[in-house]
Amino acid sequence: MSTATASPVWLARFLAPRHALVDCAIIQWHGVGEADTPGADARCRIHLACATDAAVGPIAAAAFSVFGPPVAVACADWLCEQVAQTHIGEAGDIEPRYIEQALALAPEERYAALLATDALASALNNLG
Amino acid sequence: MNDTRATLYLDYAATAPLAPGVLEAMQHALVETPGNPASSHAPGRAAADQIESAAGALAGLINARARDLIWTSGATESINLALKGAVEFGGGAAHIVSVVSEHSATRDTLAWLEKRGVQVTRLGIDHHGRLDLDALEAAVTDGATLVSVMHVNNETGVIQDIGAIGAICRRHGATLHVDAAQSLGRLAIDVDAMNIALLSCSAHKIGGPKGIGALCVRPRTGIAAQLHGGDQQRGRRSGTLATHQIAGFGAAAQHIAATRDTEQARLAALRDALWQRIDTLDAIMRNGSTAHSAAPFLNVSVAGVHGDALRTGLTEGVPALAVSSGAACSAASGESSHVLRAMGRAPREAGASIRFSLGHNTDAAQIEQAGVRFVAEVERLRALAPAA
Repeated sequence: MSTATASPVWLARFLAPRHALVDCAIIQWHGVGEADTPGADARCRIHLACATDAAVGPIAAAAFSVFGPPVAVACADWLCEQVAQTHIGEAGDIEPRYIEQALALAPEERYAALLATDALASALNNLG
Repeated sequence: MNDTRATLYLDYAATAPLAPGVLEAMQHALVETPGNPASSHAPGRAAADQIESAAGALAGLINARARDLIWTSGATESINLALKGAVEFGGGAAHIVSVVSEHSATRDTLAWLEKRGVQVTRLGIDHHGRLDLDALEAAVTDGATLVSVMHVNNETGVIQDIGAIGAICRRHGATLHVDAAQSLGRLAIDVDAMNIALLSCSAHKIGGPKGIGALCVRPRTGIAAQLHGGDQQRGRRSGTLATHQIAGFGAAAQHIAATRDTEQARLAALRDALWQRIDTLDAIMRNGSTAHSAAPFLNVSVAGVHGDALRTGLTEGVPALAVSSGAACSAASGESSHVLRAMGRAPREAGASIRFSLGHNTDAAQIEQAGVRFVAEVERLRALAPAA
């Protein structure tokens, strides 16, 4: 059990994520990517929908599904929020440290940021 | 700042709110009997009377003599005193037989003793959480001097057959220590009939205050003191006695003695109602023998949900459920409950487990609310997870 005090920022995202796939009305996704942690203790899948051509242009929507600890849910939710409306070329520039800073992750929680960005990289790679 | 969200408290195995009459007994001791119970003057004698009365109440719960009790700071100290004290009294060479599913107070003390040359045999448990008595007898026959077993497991509520274990110890001349932190006031305990030589217990699990416990040391059982200075408690545990803490323990013992049978039957019915409510979920398992579990306990594992997410969702959502994870699982360490793993649960199953433990303020409306909340949280987390 993690002994870290739950950050209000990521806790709220875990309790009420805004970009969960289950709550998303979009049925056509152009790119889906997945990543997991060693031992598959956590698994993250990111779904991307493009506004126009799948290979270029802005990302219209992003959604996630996660099996994992609360912080993994929160990181995926934050990342999907950032990715939506960004250009495909810019989405890949989001680094784990941006998530760490935004959600004030403790050192032992940083893997969750990496998990989310790995899943995003895979989804971007699979676009088209 | 206090958290003012509505909380359903179902964590009585961790600690119980004060039982009726406890606060009053403690206040009385603090205000009306401020003397040192070791003093021979009138205020001291008044404090000693309070302690004597509390000892009578506690001794009555376990069929012991009041003079057999040593007051301690809690079950952890009692267990340390019992195990280290018995080994030291015996000259340092000992063979202790215990069980893998014990509380860390016992496991860590045994590991400490093992480093100092004591032989320790740790027996396994079956998938119901029960100890194999034939395996115990074989181990005891192999020259064991001391057997240490917890009566009710703190995670699953599974009851070990202390009467049968005591009979084995009697046949082979081994001393029996029982960790009764979770069984005191919940099950009938008779140290005489059960051949228990040493019994550790705690006040705050039965509605007494935290910071006070007791070790019952039966006649003809030797222990060496582990705390020196002052010779209180006939030299077995020095230090001025905390009259108000002991008075609180006595009041809790008195309350539970008067209510135990009806209360445990009521809690068993509530626990069964909770299980019935949440058993509507797919892939949910109840951990521990249903036929041999103490009434307040319900430990469940759910598949398809991460243990840390489930615990956090339940404890931080609204209404909050004050429950414990039967397992301590983290993505970083991959650790999960040693008890559930010993019962054969896979690490991930052991990770996604929750212990509900009920007590004197629990009622049917809370149980219904908790059941609804638990089912909703599991369904929410399953919906968040990637499809296979």
